[in-house]
Amino acid sequence: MAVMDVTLPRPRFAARWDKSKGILGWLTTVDHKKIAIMYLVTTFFFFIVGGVMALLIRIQLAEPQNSFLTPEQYNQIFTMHGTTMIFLWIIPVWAGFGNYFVPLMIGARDMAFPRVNALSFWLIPLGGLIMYSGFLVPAVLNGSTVICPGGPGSAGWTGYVPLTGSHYSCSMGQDLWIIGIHVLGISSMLGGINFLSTIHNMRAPGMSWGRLPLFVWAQEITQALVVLASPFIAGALAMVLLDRQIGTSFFVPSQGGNALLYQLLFWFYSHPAVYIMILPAFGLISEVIPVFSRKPIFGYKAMAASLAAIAVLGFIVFVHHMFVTGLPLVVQTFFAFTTMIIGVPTGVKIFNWLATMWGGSIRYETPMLFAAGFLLMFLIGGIDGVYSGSLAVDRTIHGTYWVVSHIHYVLFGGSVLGVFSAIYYWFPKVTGRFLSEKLGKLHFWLMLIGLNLTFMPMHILGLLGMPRRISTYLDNRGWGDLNSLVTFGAFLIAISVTVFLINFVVSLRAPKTAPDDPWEGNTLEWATSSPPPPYNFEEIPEVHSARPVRDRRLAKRAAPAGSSG
Amino acid sequence: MNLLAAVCGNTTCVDTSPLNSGGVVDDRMQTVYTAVFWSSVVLGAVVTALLLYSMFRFRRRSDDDEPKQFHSNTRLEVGWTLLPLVVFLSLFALTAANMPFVNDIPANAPMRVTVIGVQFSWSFDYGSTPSGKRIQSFGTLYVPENTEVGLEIVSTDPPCKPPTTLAAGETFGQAISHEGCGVNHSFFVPSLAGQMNAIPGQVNTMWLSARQGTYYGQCTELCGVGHAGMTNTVVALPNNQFQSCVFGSPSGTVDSNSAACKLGGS
Repeated sequence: MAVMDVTLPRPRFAARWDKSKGILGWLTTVDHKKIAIMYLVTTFFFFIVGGVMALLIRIQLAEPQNSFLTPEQYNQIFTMHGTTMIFLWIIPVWAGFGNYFVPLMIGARDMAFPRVNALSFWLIPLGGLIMYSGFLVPAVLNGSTVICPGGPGSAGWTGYVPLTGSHYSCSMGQDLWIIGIHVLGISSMLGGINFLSTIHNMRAPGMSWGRLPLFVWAQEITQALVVLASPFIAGALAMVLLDRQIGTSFFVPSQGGNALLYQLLFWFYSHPAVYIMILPAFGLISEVIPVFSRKPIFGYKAMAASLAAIAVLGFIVFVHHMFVTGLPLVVQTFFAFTTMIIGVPTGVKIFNWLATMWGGSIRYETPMLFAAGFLLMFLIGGIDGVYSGSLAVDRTIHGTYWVVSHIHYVLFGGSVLGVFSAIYYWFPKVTGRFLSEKLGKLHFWLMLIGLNLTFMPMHILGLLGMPRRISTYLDNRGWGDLNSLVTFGAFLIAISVTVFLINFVVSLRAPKTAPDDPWEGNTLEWATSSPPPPYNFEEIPEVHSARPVRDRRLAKRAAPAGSSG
Repeated sequence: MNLLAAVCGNTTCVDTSPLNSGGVVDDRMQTVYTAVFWSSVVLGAVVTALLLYSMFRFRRRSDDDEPKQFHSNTRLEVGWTLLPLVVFLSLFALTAANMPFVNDIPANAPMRVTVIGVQFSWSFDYGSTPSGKRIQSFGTLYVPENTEVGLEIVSTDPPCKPPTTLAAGETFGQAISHEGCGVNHSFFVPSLAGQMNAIPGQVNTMWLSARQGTYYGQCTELCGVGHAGMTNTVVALPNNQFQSCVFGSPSGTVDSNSAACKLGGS
């Protein structure tokens, strides 16, 4: 296995670059790698919290007319599950990977604005705490009569008005939910500007846009979406907060406001947000598949262009979330058209990944297993998307478990499998150690089986007319057995995550055996040590192709052969 | 395809699947659905097969072999851009061709009913008696079989009260919507006509024409703690029976327990 031998003398950087040590060092660091590690640990913590809430939901729904949770608790828990998984897990976890690897991959020493970067991170636990403090809001009582039940946000992660209005959601928890999302939104936008500045200005010599790693391309497009779209949810939620707190009536129909306007503003952010959650996974998969197939990515330009196409089209499909809100048919038809069209660049990506593997020499270490799982599962989620883009189909499956299945095939089968591929792929770089392959494979297979047992029956439940977000269901609907199966699958996923945690802890105690370039990588993070020094590179590398580390590896192999012969 | 039969062993299950159509609107939706379903299955199966084939076929056999480093093929790339485009555009065309029928209440529809969602139940308003009383049913919508029925779907709640007077040319549903109370709901009758939201401040429409029978559904838009209990039933009665069920009650409130309102009873 080719190892970069770093024979250069330790440079002047070592003396004066990041010297922060201990707890205080972590709290005050502006090093992008330390910040990234804090991003990853924090968001994974929220993944576990959100996952525990998913299990509570599944226990409640395992059988008809169950009373494990009250309807109030159920609404709070599924709301916090969705909000956590989106705003505290998938969006920021990819910002975490971006934080660690964008500077490394473009050959930079840090992000453009290291202090802003630290702020972006610290806003995440803050936003999470604010949102979760809603659980502490007590009920308001008058004698023994409950005037207001208290608790956190409970109107779904979409927070539709008028349900989130003060009349229907009286708990201060709903305000905390809004403020929490605001804080997380500020974190995202600051991060977005930071990423864009870094990628535009700090690329190593020779790293033209045509040689930029696709993971960095994906971050570039994702962060542009963040910066362009996030103000819309911020604005919409600010108006809800004003309606609740100071009596404005932006969304209060009885006072001349418009309830549907909220949905338009919300989805103008939240549909692009789906791409904010999946595009970084596309980028990661576009790194992993070529490395483990020993081939260049097929159709590099088409891969970058399709990311951009998805992002642009992503802004004009959002009304497909509103096909049953009574908008004029011509408007709906337009958005059904764009929704079908956005399937095309997504299809291009899948075919290009396929062609990258085709004729390759694929080895299945855990990162590649998760990448393969991603391809198969995201394909289902993607086709589901086109499927529900048909207006006539959407009228019958909208708001049912079919949609829950679709989003989980995209966000779990897609994004989360992508996250695990990234963890197994980059763990040696970040820690200098390998995660156990044995436990990794066990983790993968349990998770793949678990997620299909969880999310595939939801398709059928949706086609049987089971609405989403119901706290229980009648036993004469025939939904009981399938729901038991879904619950079983959810626990299988929980076991697989436990296996991962064990792997993580055990591997962190193992000796540092990971070389600089364990997978025969292509991109610049493999050109430095594992873990990288605080200043990343002894010398800023020069780039002559889209696979600079492969170039070096080949040159190194050729050199001794030439001298001996 | 009868999913329900597969999951419900005993005979007490009620049917809430859009796949078992009970009326012309859902018939039409199922035409589109079937095409979309099979296109998706075929497309998904072909691509999955290709992926699995390449995943197995191109496993690494030796660490020394470096495969050919090909990375583009314009003809192939244009091909797999155009192929999905053609499939998706055909599905879009099929959808667009059928949507006016599904979406628009037929101009000659003989009957209109106002569907009113509140936290957490549905009621149905059939107009007023000669003496000015509103004729309403609660939880169950009664319709004459094989008749086009236009539905105006609205939401309300206290403190708003049912409107007592209507402005000229204004429907009952419009009068309710002008008050602007309530939260969002969604009126869903899977076997008949899909669903449409009830949104405060606006009147949404859908229509159905049902074959004789009883159809079930429930609210599909989160509306608060009672969301799970907000069920609805649609009963399509023979025309004569419908008349006596809905317009035969002196109080204006349809009595669901009366013989006239029971399908198969008399």
